[in-house]
Amino acid sequence: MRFKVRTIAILVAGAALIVSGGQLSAADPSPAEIIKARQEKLKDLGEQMKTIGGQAKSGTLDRKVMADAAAKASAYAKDLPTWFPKGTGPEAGVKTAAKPEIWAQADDFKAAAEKLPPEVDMLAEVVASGDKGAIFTQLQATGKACQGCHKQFRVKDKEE
Amino acid sequence: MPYSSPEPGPDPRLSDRRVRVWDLPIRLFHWLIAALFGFCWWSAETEHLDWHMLSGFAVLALVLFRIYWGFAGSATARFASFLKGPRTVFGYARNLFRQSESVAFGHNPMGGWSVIALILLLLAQTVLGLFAIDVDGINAGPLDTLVSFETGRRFAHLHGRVFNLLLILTALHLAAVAFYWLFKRENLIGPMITGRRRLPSWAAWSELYFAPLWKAALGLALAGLLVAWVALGWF
Repeated sequence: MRFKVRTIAILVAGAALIVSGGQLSAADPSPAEIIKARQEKLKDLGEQMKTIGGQAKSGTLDRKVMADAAAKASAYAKDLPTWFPKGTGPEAGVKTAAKPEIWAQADDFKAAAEKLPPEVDMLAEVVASGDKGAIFTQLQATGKACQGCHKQFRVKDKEE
Repeated sequence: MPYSSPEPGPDPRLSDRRVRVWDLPIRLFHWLIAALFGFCWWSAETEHLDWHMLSGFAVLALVLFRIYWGFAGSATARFASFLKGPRTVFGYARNLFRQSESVAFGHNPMGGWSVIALILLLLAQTVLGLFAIDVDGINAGPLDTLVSFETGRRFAHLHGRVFNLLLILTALHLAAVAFYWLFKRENLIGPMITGRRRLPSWAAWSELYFAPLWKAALGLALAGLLVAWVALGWF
């Protein structure tokens, strides 16, 4: 039985390959999909910052909640430079605030993006301490890293 | 009776009688709002968000006080005294371009509605700010914890839009003051500073009601406490 299932699977995969003309890229996400996924992740990154800020502001200081948010943010921060493959700028034809400079000045973008992970890792350390003042200070430092990229490489929202 | 319709008579400019129309709380409210509006604008543009929030709290407290004063304040401060029906408003608008001095002791029938629009927009603007969050999820109003990041962003965008409306209304307000000065030869700024205006000799006049200052202090203290309660998260 097991043998049969595997045979069918191989046959189906082979057929799919033939139908797609050997172009596996057909299964790759389109620029529009990459942009959408990127926006979702950036929004969720904002949500994590907001969660930590909210804990500090309310004085609840739930360390588990803050540590989870910081861990999530840290993973996002390290992954972030891979969210901008070529072709996912304004030329993709969907709404994106990503400026063409991300690709035109790729080295500058990389340098700006690399400033984020250390700040977020520091934030993760600070939330573990539960020191409210230190959390606010490190949140602002993290915000500077966000803005460092946003100022240069993100189209400013019209209503800001 | 803060408003009486003009009647033919001797040149009102010959009259020297000066009567009190604006109380101290209204004048302070006006100039503080003017200054704070400028400061809020500047601090937002230059991204001094901590100052922006503090000045926004001050605006909210002043606007709440103004609403209270619209019910409990002096005659010219009360909404009931300066909010007129469409007939009066259109009647006033029809005569707007006649160069006769108007006799509105307090807000005129058109200006009254503009005042209400400004107060409501300032209220909306400051309340929106309480929930707004920046694009990085770091700087936010004190009530952002009640909404999601995405909703907070929507509030921030609305905050920007209402600001544009406020700019338009402020421009209209300044244009009206200039129009009265240049075309109607009527200085509206002086009375807003001194509290007194010249009374045309033909105008009927009975002393207006002026509310005691302790009432204003009480209202301002309550408004301030309410805003501090929200701003500092005492809930």
